[in-house]
Amino acid sequence: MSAPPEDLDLSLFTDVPDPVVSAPRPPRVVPPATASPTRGTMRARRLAALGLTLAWFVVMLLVLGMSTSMTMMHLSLYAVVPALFGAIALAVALRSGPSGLGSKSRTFQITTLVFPVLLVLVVLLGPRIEHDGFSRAAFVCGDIVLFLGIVPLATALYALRRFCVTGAVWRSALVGLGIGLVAASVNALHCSNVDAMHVAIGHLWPVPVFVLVATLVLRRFAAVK
Amino acid sequence: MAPERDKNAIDDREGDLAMSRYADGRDDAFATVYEILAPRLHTFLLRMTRNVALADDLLQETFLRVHRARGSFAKGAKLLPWGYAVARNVYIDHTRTAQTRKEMVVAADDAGVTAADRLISGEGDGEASLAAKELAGIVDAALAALPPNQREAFILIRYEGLSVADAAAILGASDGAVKLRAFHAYEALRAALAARGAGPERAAPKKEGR
Repeated sequence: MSAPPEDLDLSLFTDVPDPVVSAPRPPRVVPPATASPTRGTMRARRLAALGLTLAWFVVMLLVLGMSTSMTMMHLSLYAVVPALFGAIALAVALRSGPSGLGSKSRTFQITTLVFPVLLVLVVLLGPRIEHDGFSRAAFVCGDIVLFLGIVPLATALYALRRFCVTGAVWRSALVGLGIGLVAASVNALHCSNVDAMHVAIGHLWPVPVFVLVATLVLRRFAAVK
Repeated sequence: MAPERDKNAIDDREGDLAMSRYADGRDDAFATVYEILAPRLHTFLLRMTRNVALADDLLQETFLRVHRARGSFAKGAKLLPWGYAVARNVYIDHTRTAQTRKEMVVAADDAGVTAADRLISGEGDGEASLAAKELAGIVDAALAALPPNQREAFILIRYEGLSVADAAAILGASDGAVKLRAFHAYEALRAALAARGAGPERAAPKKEGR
């Protein structure tokens, strides 16, 4: 098959006649009598989900306790950067885009695939602390991240119901990524182990789990059906 | 052509505003949304299914989904791409069921003979009408033989008059990919028309690149 010319003139397509010269009239559709959520309802749901998620994180931090061994450098690398990446992932997933159908597919793909790799690199290139090191506790930290992400994921299922007309798979994956990164960031505020390897593996291994779960579960709720 | 295009632009803008009102809970805006969206989506579904009854059913389902999902229509969004995306989802869901596959086979078997008769106007003198029907039949059959992703890209751009960017947003693909699919569809259709001695007189576009 040949490639189209760089400056393909779409008016060429009119060479191909339209088989539907005179379409039949569309059937009369009665407006559905059942109530459906309006834009205001959807906005209220999203705000409620955001509020509930923030409250959940605050309560969990109070219950688990805040780390006292973090320097500003560690705070930036292990908490602020993941939270920032997570927030960007969520913003990309939820933005309506120029025609109301979300960001371009390339943006979804790049964000989903590049952010986790970039974050691991950022964490690993940060200062190493040898005395704590990577330990079995890393998996416990991962469990905490998973636990922290359960409520945000549940609220996303509620708030994003019938939200995606297109791109439900990628947008759900991005929401999963955002939730995983923010949960990892909150866990970093609690965890006292500031070893780069511990953070890169122990805090971030649940992120692909969230991406996978969101892709499999959230997309079913989020797609317009 | 220009006044027609202006009218379409006004209709589109009016549709965007009406859908926005409908998304805000103003049920009276549904009539305007329907008036602007229904004829276009019905024709789109007809092109995709090649079956009038099926297109009618899918249009009903599309508007049900539009109603259910109206809250997700963002401020400043465009009604037409949004509506086409919903209609496309309905069509895809329909083709995925085993029952539908059977219906599609029946429709496709039957379409080669009758689709053009159903879809094309019988106006004009007998010979011209017959030739037009024959041409429509060739295009219809060639469209049906295209891979689905090429067919929908071509239909959205050529027949529904959408921009490449809007078609790409609806299909969830990049602009380049959609342009490529539509171009391949165009080449296949031209070849089908040429093989039946009904090819366009215009020269083929100059090839560049790969």
